[in-house]
Amino acid sequence: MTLTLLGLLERRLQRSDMVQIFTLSFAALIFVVTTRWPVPEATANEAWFALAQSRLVVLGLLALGFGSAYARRPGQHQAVTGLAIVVFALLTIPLDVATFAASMPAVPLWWTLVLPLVDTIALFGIGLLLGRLMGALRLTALLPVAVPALLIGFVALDVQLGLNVLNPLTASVNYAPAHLAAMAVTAAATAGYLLRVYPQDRE
Amino acid sequence: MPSWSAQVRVTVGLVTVLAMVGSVFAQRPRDSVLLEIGFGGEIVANRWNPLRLTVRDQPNAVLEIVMDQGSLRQGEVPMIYRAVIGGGTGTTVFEDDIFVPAWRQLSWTVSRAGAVLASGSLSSRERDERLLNLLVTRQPGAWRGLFDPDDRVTEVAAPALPGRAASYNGVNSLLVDGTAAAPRTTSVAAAAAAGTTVRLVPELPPSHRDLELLAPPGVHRLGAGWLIRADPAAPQAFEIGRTLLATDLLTILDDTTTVAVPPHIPQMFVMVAAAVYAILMLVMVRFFGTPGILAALSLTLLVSLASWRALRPAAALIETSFHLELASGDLAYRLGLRKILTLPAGPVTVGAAVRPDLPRTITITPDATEFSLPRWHQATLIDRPRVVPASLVWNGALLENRSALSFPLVVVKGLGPQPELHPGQTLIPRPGEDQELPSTLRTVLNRVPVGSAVAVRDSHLFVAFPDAVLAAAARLW
Repeated sequence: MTLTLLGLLERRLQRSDMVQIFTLSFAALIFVVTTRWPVPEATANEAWFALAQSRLVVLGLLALGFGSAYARRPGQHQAVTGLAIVVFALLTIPLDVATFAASMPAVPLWWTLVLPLVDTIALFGIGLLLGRLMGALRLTALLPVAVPALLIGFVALDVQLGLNVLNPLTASVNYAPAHLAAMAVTAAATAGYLLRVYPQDRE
Repeated sequence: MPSWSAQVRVTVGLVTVLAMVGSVFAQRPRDSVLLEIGFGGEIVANRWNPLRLTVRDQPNAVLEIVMDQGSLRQGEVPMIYRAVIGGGTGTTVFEDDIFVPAWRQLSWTVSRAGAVLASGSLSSRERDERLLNLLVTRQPGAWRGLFDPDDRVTEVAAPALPGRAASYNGVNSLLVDGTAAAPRTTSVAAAAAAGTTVRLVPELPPSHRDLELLAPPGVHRLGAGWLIRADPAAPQAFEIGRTLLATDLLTILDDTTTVAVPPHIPQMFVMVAAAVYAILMLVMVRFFGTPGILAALSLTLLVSLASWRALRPAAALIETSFHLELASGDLAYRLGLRKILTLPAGPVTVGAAVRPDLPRTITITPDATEFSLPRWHQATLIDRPRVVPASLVWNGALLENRSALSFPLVVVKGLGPQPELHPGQTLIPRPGEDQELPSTLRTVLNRVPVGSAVAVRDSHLFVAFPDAVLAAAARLW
C-alpha cells in the first residue's frame, strides 16, 4: 500500500499543474524572504514574520483550492492531492527555519513547524466541504472567488469576535493554542476521512 | 436646687474627668509604619535617594512605591519599587536606596494580604531636582549664609546618615560642625567617596575623634569627592561639582558603548541560496520520482539544520556593560552602565537594582529589576553607584595598581601615555610619547582635572584623581 501511495504521489507531483503551482509558490516565498531580509546596517531582522504569514496563506490557498476542486473526485485522488500539498509544506520548511533562526521571534520553533502542517491538512478538509457545498448549490463556477473569500472570512470573523481561533495570519506568528486545537481537530477529521475513502476508492 | 458650691464641685469634677480622658487620647501611639525617602523628607528627583521604612509590631508586609513618569501624551509610565519587609514583634527597620525619577505622581503603600497598613503620596509640585546640602549641626542658622538662596539646605541627624554611597547621589555637600552627635565614619566616608564635598570644622570635639582620623586638617580627596577639614566659611576652591563630573563621564560612556548586533547575511546571498534550494527541490520532485521525493525530504531536514546553525544568533539577550571607577585615597566610586538588546520580545530580568536612562515601565526590587522590551530593542540601564576599594590610585607621587589585573593602557593627563602597569606595581609617571588613544579615553581625558590618571582595561575605565597637592604640581608639568 505504501509503495502504491508513493507511486501515486510521484505521479501527482509530476503533473504540470502541481509543478507550476509549486514553482509559483516557491517564487512568491523567495520574493517575500528577499524583500523582507534586512540590509546589513539594519538592526532588526523581521523576515520570519512576513514569511510565516505568507507561507501559511500560500499553503492555505493551495489546500482550500485543491480541496474544493477535488471535492467530487474519487477519494484516492483527494488523498494523494492532499498529501502532495503536505509534501510542498515540508519542502518549504527550510525557508521558515532559516528566517526563524535569524529573526528570533518569541514563539517556539515547534509552533512554526507544526502549525502550517496542521493548518494545511485542516484547510484541505474545509476545502473538500466547501467544494461539496458549492456543488450542492450549483455554484461551482464561483469556487475561485469562494476560496480566498473563505480565508478572508476566517480572518474577519476572528477580528470581529476578538478571538484567535480561525485566523491563520495571526496564529502563524503568535502562540494561539485555541487556533491550533481547532485546526488539529479539523485536521484529524480530514485525515480520518481521507484514510477511510482512500482504500475504498482504490478497490 | 443645688447650692453654688455644689455646682462648682460638679464643674471641677467634670473638668478633671475630661482632662484625664483628654490626656489618655493625647498620648498617641507612635506610627506603626513610617516611611522616609530622602534626607529629612527632602527627595532629589532623578537621583538615588535613601529609603527607610520602620515597621512596629506588624507581620510581614510589602512596600510598593509607584512613581509615574508619564505625561498626558504618553499616559502612565510607572516605575515600581517593591520590597518584602520581614516583620514581627518589635521594631523592624528596612533600608535601601531607591532611584526616584522626575515623577508626575508618587504614591506608596505598605500592605499585607491585600490590606493596606499605611499609604501616602506626593504630587509633582513637590518634585525638586536640585542637589541637597546637608548640615549635621545644632546651629543651622550659623551656616545658612554659606549657601545661595536657591540652594537646598536641610538639617539632618547624624544617625540618619546612611553608610551607602548611593544614598548620597543627590547630595552636593555635607557639613559637620561638631555641635551635634558625631556621624559614623563609614557614613562620612561613603558620602565623600560618592562625590559629596564633606566639610568639617578644624576644631572638633572629642566625640568626633574618629572623624579627625578620617579627615586630618587640610583638603583631601576621597573616592570621587572631597574631605575638607578647614574653616567652612573659607572659599570653597575645591568644589568641582563631582556629581556633575560623574554624570558627565557616564554620558560619555553611554554615547560610546554600543551593543554588538548580530550581523545579517547579505540579501543577495539569501536570494540566491533560496532560489538554488527551490530549483533543486522542484527538479528532484519532478524528474527523479519516488527516490527524488525521499531525497528532497531528507535534504529539507539537512538544509534546515544547516541554516539554523548558520543564522541563529548566539544568544537571545545581548548585554554590553561598562564600568567607571573614580578613585582617590583608598576608595573608588564605581558607576556601571549596561546596554541590553533582546532579540525576541519579552520580559528582561537583571539581577541587580538598576535604573533605566529613559522613562519606561519597570519594576525594581532591592536585588533585581524587571521590565519588558519589544523584539530587537535596546535598553540602557545604569547601575546603583557603590564604593569599592580603589584599583588605580595615586600614592603620593606614585601611581599604583592595586587590582589583580594589569592595566595595558595608562594615561596621565598632562604627561601622556605611561608604560603598562602590572598588578601591585607602582610607577613614577614621566612624560610619555604621543600616541593615538581610543576616542573614549580622549573624551574622558578632556573632562578630568590635570594630573588625573586614566586607565582602560576591557570594559572598565579607571580614573585616579590626584590629591590636591599633586594636582597643583601637575599644573606645573
